[in-house]
Amino acid sequence: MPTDNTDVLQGTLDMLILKALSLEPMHGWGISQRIQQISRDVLQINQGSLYPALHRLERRAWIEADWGTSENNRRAKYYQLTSLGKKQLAEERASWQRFTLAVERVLQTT
Amino acid sequence: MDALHLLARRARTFLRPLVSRRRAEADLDEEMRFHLDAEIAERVRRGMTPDAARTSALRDFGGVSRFKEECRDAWGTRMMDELSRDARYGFRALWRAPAFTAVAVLTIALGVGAATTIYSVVQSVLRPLPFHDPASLVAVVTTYRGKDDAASALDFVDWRRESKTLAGMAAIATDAMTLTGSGEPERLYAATVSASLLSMLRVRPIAGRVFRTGEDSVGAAPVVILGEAVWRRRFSSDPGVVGQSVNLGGEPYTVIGVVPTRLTYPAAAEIYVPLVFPTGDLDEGNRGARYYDVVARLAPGATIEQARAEMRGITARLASAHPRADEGVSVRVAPLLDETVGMFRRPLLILLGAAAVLLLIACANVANLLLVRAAGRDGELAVRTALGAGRARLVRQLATEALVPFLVGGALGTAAATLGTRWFATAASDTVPRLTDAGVDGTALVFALVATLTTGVVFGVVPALRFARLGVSGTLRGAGRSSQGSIGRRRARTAIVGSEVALAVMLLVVAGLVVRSFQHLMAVDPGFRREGVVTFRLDLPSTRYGDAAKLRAFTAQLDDRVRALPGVTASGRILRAPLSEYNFNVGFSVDRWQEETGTRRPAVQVRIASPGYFEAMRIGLVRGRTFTAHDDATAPQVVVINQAMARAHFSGETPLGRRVWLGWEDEGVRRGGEIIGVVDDVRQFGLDRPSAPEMYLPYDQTPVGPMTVVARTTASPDVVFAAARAAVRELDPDLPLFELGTLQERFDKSAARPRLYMTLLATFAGVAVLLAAIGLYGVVSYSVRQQTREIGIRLALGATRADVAGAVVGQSLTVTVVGAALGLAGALAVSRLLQALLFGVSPTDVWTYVAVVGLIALVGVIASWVPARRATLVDPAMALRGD
Repeated sequence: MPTDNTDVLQGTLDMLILKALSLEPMHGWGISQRIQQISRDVLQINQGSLYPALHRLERRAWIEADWGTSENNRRAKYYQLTSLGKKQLAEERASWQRFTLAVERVLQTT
Repeated sequence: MDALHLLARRARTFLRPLVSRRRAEADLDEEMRFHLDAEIAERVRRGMTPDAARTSALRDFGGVSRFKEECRDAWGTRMMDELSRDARYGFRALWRAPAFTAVAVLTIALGVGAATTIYSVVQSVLRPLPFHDPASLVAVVTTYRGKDDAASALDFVDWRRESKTLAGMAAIATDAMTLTGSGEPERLYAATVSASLLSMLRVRPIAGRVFRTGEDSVGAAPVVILGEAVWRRRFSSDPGVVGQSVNLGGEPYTVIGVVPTRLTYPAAAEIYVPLVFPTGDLDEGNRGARYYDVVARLAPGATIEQARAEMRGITARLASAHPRADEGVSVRVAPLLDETVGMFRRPLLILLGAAAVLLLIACANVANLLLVRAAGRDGELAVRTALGAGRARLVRQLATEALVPFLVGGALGTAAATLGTRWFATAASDTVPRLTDAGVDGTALVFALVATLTTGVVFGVVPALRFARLGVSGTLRGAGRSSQGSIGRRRARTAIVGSEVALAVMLLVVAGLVVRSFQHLMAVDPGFRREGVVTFRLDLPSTRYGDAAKLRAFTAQLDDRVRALPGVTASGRILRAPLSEYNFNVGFSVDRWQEETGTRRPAVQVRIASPGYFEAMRIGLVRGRTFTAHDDATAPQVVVINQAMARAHFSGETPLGRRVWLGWEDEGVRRGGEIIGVVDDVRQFGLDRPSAPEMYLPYDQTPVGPMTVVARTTASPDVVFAAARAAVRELDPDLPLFELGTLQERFDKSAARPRLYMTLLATFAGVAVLLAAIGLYGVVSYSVRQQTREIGIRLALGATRADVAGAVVGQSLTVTVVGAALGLAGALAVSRLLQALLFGVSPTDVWTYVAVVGLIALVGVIASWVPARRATLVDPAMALRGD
């Protein structure tokens, strides 16, 4: 098990999912692959914890789900971003940037 | 995506897991299985063995069942699952304790049922009138020296002409007309109304049209509008009746329309005819002749205050212009609904209050039962806590369980209320208006639901949580005999029972006062002997009995026939019989008629009696004599007066031989004459209304068409009525008999309203006392059971059994006395509001309060008797060894 992974806080996980889905509709496994690829395996999430998050986001109507067919011809549940979700992503991204900027400044001044 | 689509999608997301649980679970399984399969395939592709790939993929995924549970949390179904499990558990717990359940559920059902029934009734009576914009309808009521009076035709005409704030002003008189042709002649209640009335009310006819302007002017062709009931009964719902001619009182009327029965205004009207003022009514000399009710609609933009100010101004001008007729006269403008049902508001709200108090007592009783049960569950709760049940979870379960009996009882009570409302509507149809379509409607259902939930939360959930001991310590260690929770519970139970007693005492005082009022009412001497007297009415139409000679000829024959009816020992005729609320008020002066008097002259109730009347009614003769057959048209005019008139106008001197003259002229003859006798007062307007000064004129000297025949008979009423119908038919086949009945029925009907209020209030109070007694019994017997050990110790230390029993009864009496004191204070505080229901009893009647205290003390002793006996049977040795 890699030791330099980062615990992904729940709110951050939500944002990562929304970001992953902003490119194209995907199924759950695809989302986990995408997050690991892009973060170059730094962000190692417990794959199962993706699903409660997905169902929660669906409940909030930030994403919506439809059953489709996967690359290897199996029934899979595909999630895609709703307009509400896009707005949410933009907001979370903005506040994330504000947060990291603030932390950065604090770290630089001390 | 458009909003509607979005909404539908969201609803599906929300509802799917709730509606189809199995489907949602299957989807979740499949989704996770797909993920794992894909992950395993990926790892195999990267070179792992299938087995290693499966193991590592499962490890990296984490606990499948844990994540599934978290998904279910996200769906929101978990709470539903638990709720329904708790409810099922609650039901099962109820099922296991059938006695407790039956008592709790029935008690709640009783309370909710009574409250919802009365609420539905109140709702039905006080609901807005069934007309367009009912809030703008007003009654214009003439007052004379502050007391309500009817309006005169001239005042009405002047009001209508001058008022700007009122539109469509209409005068109403009620009359009765005989419908002949096509079957038995039938007596119908007719509303004689200004042509504007129905269009002002915006009544929509079932067929034809309503009156047009001008149809109420002198010389207009006679027209009639049928009420729906008559139309269905007599004309078999034929719309073709519009345009046809019907015979009313011997004259042809053209039917122009049919209107719905639901109108209920003016009350009981069966047909409507235009009100054409008799020519005399519009002579300036008759401005003081007041017979009419007046209604109107506020003109657009006008307020009732403006209408009041304007109408007072107009009437004040009329009073100063016509001081002889209108001196002391003013006017009152009130919402029409208040005028129609205002007198029922206070009594009905009192009944509603009583029903609400009953509901409170019922709920308190159930709260008490629940607390006893809760005491038995401390152990169970402690075990569950120890086994890891979350506090929130237990709280939710306790709350759901406590709510279940309330919900079941509430549903049962609401069902009972639909029956109760129907029963009330039938039982009170003669005494309370607007009940014909009373039922448990939407608002009543909301009322029942709110009442059930509120009481469920206040009396079920709150105590359940407040006194639940949600902790492991103590109870499990077995030390919990007099632990904190059980002391709190005992205090709560005592307080609850004390409040029950207080509320029951309040109801008892109210019921006691009303019962005593009713006794006073029944003890009233109506002035006549009512047993064995039948009465029926006749009205000789002026078309066929136009002159005095014809009236005298008919009534002479009628008297012979009535004397010959089965079992008749005495008979007579009167306009009108007592307790009929018939108002025939005429001004008079003593000794000689004075045309000009500075103020309005005194008035007297005029009655027209045949010679046999006083004997048939057994009305006592105080002095002088009553009428004989010799007091006929050719003899000098004579009158008989009642004691109220003798007292009011001849105090200290004998009225016999004096002459009185009425403001009533007929064919040039002034009515009145020499006073030949004084008779006892008779209750004319109702048992609770004192007798007014009254003057009787002999029929043959003042013959009139309408009359009530009274006959004292030993035969059964039905036999007499059948014979009377046959006898009258032989004299005149087109003359209907109506209002056939006995004096006893008339008497009962006059007391029906107070009897209804009394019955309901006494029932409520009785049930309340019973519930309070059950509550007391429960608390006392439980505390005896709890104190078995203590009692055993006291017995062992030498206390006598009487001491022990006394202590138990004393405990019950303490609660009773404190509760009763609070209840009496409460009763005193609200008693002022009761005035409307009371007769001959002060709201602070000492004897009622004393009797109530005595009764409740007795209840306190009885309720503690059995537990006290049980306490005396405690075996000290057993009790001490007990644990």
